[in-house]
Amino acid sequence: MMFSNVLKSEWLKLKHSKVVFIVLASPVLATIIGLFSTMHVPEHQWLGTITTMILAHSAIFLPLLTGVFAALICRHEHSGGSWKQVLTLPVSRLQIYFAKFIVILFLLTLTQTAFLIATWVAGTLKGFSDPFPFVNVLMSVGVGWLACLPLIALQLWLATMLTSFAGPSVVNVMLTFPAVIIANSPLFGPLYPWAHPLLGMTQALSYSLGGDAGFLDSAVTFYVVMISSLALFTVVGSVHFQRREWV
Amino acid sequence: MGNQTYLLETNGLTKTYKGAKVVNGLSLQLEEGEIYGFLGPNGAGKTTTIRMLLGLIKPAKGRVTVFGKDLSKERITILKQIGSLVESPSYYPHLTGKDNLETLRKILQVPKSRIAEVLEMVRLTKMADRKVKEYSLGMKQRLGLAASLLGSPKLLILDEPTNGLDPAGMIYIRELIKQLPVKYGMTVLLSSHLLSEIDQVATKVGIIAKGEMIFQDQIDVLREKASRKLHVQMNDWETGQKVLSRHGIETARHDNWLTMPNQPDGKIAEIVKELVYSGLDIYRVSEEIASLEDIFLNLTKGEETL
Ligand SMILES: Nc1ncnc2c1ncn2[C@@H]1O[C@H](COP(=O)(O)OP(=O)(O)O)[C@@H](O)[C@H]1O
Ligand SMILES: [Mg+2]
Repeated sequence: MMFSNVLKSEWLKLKHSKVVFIVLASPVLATIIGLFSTMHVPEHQWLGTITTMILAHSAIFLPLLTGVFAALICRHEHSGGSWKQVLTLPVSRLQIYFAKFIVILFLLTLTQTAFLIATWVAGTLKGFSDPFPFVNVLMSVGVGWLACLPLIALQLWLATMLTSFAGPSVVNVMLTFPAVIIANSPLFGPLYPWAHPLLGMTQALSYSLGGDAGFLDSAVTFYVVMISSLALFTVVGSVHFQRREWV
Repeated sequence: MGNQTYLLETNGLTKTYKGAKVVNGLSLQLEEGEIYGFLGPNGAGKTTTIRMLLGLIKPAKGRVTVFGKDLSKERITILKQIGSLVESPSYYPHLTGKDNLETLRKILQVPKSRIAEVLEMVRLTKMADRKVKEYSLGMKQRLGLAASLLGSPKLLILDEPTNGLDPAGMIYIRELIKQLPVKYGMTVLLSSHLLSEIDQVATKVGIIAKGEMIFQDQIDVLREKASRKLHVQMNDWETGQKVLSRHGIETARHDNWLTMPNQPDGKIAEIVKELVYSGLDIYRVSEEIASLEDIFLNLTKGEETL
């Protein structure tokens, strides 16, 4: 059976699920915050507004979204009792697991794209005349996307392990709020996955502009932690999914 | 090597939960074209067995062979030809009935027209475009049945399929299941805690109690067990028992009654004559007709050995 068929099936399940509101929530909020931002960076008309928006989007909403997406994608299997139906289809369990993973990645891509557009909208509405720093925001959005991967892997594991919608979300919320504080520590920030979206997005923006936001002692630590936690959570989550008993 | 004549076969299937064997050494054989009634009281282990047949849970011991293949090795190949409905129906409440089936069809890769066909089979055509959260429990159950039929499976495994249906729905579904082997060449295993359900559709019966298979044979064999019994009341049952045993008739005693399988008229006359010649006083001779239901109850209570 083709993996793409499993993907299409997962995608269909999102119909009528109002997921579009969740995808757009953070970019819309960030736009509003951006419009009222008074942060001003000399020599760069766009930078203050974009930075404010990135902070709002990446510190809280982005880590929370990973949990919401993961919970959403498993929600109806839990509540409608359809794990047993999905898992008696002639496809491997890993295909089901990774189809869900990829759908979450796709939703995250939509959110990040919407955020990119949101920064342009906010600046344009404020009447900025300088050219929109597209490449810089794109870099930030892209690294932010990467920085969410370990969290998604973790959240998908939790969402398939705990048979409730609320459980993983509560865990996620509790671990997200300290992220802002922990991100301020150059030592601990890179070690804490919930701080990664913030670190990734701010750092990428400033690097692309030739500066350093100063959140990171070592970009290497950041990437090593990111890749190894992604690998760890993916392996543990998918192995657990494959081995567990479905009752 | 699995026995090729069986479509589905288990050997010594065992499942343990917290040290308790909820399914214990179960051996089940299902031949092609049969409707196998898997009967047992609530908590007997039917659903647990069915989950093992579908690879949803792993047996602690034992093997499942389907279509001559080992389930633990070729699960996906086997599942291609199985349709199933386990316990409560599965559904996506925010999707229409049609879209619910479409999520499965995309993976099963059957023609789109098959969705309308199976909806028609379970009489849900009118509800096809309504969201499933508006369905009654019976409709959800029928949707589940439609889902199990979607891939035109060779083997259909249905766990208490008439649960939640109203009497008319039950009769309709029962008739539908009966026709599956004839019309579509399917083989069916269906579980129930009600003998009446099984009695009306099954060709073969397996009875499970406390995790163990206590009876497995053609339904006619079970029906024969429902045949009459003969009770004879007398003054000295010990002598009576000896006399009858000499004639090859084993009896059970209750007070001063002796109970034996029903006999032809001539044999009964002979028995009575023998007892009287042995100097016994015969008080009463009566016959009892046990229903299938009685037999099932007796079997599952373990009061009668087979
Ligand atoms: N996941 C589980 N954990 C512990 N015990 C279970 C589990 N599933 C079933 N059981 C127990 O196994 C026994 C058989 O259950 P089940 O197979 O559902 O019976 P049936 O379907 O015949 O009513 C019951 O005593 C039940 O409590
Ligand atoms: Mg059951």
